[in-house]
Amino acid sequence: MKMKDIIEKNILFVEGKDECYFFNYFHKYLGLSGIQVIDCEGTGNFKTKLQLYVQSDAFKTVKTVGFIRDADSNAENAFASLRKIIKETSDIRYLPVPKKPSEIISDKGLKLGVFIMPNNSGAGMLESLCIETIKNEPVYECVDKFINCFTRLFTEEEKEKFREHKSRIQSYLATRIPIAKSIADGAQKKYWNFDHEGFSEINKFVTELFS
Amino acid sequence: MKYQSIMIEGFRGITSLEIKDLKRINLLVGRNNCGKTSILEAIFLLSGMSNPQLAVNIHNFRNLILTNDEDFNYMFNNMNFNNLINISGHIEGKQRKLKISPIYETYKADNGSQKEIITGQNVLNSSYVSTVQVVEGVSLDFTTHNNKNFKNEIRIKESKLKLSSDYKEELHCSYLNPVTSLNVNEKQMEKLLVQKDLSKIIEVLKGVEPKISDIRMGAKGMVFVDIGEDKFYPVNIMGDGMRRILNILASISDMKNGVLLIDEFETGLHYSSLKVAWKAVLSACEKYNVQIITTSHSYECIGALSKSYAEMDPDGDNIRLYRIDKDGENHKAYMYNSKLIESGIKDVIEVR
Repeated sequence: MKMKDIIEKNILFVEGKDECYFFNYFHKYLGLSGIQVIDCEGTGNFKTKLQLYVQSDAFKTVKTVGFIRDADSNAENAFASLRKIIKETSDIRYLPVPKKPSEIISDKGLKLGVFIMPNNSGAGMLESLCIETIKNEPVYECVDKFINCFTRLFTEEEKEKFREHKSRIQSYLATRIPIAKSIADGAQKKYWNFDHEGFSEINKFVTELFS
Repeated sequence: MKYQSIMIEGFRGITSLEIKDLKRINLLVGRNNCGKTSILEAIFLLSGMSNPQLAVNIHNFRNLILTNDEDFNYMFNNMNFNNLINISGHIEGKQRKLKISPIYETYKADNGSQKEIITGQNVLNSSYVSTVQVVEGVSLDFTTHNNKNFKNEIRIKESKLKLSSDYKEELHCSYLNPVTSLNVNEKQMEKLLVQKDLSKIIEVLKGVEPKISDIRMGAKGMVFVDIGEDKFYPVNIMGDGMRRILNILASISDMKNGVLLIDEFETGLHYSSLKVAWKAVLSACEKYNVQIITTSHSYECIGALSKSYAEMDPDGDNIRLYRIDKDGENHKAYMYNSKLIESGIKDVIEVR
């Protein structure tokens, strides 16, 4: 049985499988290596996953810990929630606790930072960031029209549940040849321009944290 | 009665270690030589603190025969008698403490009687003080929550035990090590059969040997099993797994309201039998109100405990896993509660 364990000195906790693949492509694109991206399987599992990995034997070799999660409706709340988890886990095994997003702190041989998607403020997610980088492409007008067209047919309940940013990304990826199935698949197929200004904040964070 | 916490200082390789929030079933894991067995030994000494003989017995469990009092240094951190041993624990809010220290030779004549006073010229020949201190045994100073202090001693060379006559131990504790725990204890077995738990035990043993249908005690205290052949077989010729489970269950019923320490739970058990073994142990511990503190190296063993417990008590939090590790000079017990163990097992994350 292959056990999941810490195998690198640099760890990046992300909230889902898609983010896990995405940031694997992202950090390699930035020319960084030796970073293990760990899928926390949802924001609700950050605490459990962090405690499991932080208590493991291999964690003693870790030098850098990064966290990237979505702001969802509010970046401030998302950061506060993650900060609380880091603080509680620090009672088990010491972790430096940042005071604000993107702050990288080093203490007792450990470097730690938190980034809230898309840009450490407001609402949104990884998809919001990617949308920023494609919204000026001609094809995005078609995506806009498509979204506006079918959302007119929604009931109030459907409008409530609709996840617009995810839908926009799926629609955009459907215009690519070959089609990409997910945001991570899009990264693998190089459909996201990581040099775009929209990625500059996350680019700066990942580079500063892991360099 | 069950331990809620344990504190160990200066015992064997452990400079300092605290284990908190112990529950009904407690699994100690960690790399080789991290001190798991030493922890069990320390708890055993604390549980039987009025019995100094245990200071010798714990070495016998490791096949170490103490031949003189200097050998007691095996118990002391860095094998140095200056590092005094302090072991304490809380049981239902009440603290018990044990301090183990060496007994040094007192000044006496070669023949054991008091020496004569040296005078005159002979003083010049005796004008030195020896700095070599000979250890003559160990002293066990212990106390319970009522703060009364007791003192026992054990001296190997003099073959002497000095006991506190006015202390009555109320805690039952037994220690199963990988070697001795394969020998079925007839007295415990008899007790188990008297409890009318036979059908349940047979059901558990079927998980190891599907053909088993009956267990009987022989006239000379031997235990026999019926495996569908034309005669009963002595349990001692059966496989290790069956003897191991029988012995653990018999020990649990014998330790009613007490603590059972098991070194390497999985010894003798095939991974496919671990779940059935844990289920039986969990129910027996509930029935007899026994706390288990055990060691393991096996991921299957941890998984079997977690899955058995989740099936029997999905909302409960009565199992703990402690990964023992060195944190600088001191040891540290990283604690995993029931849900954390379950998540680790589900996601196949290394917890050992």
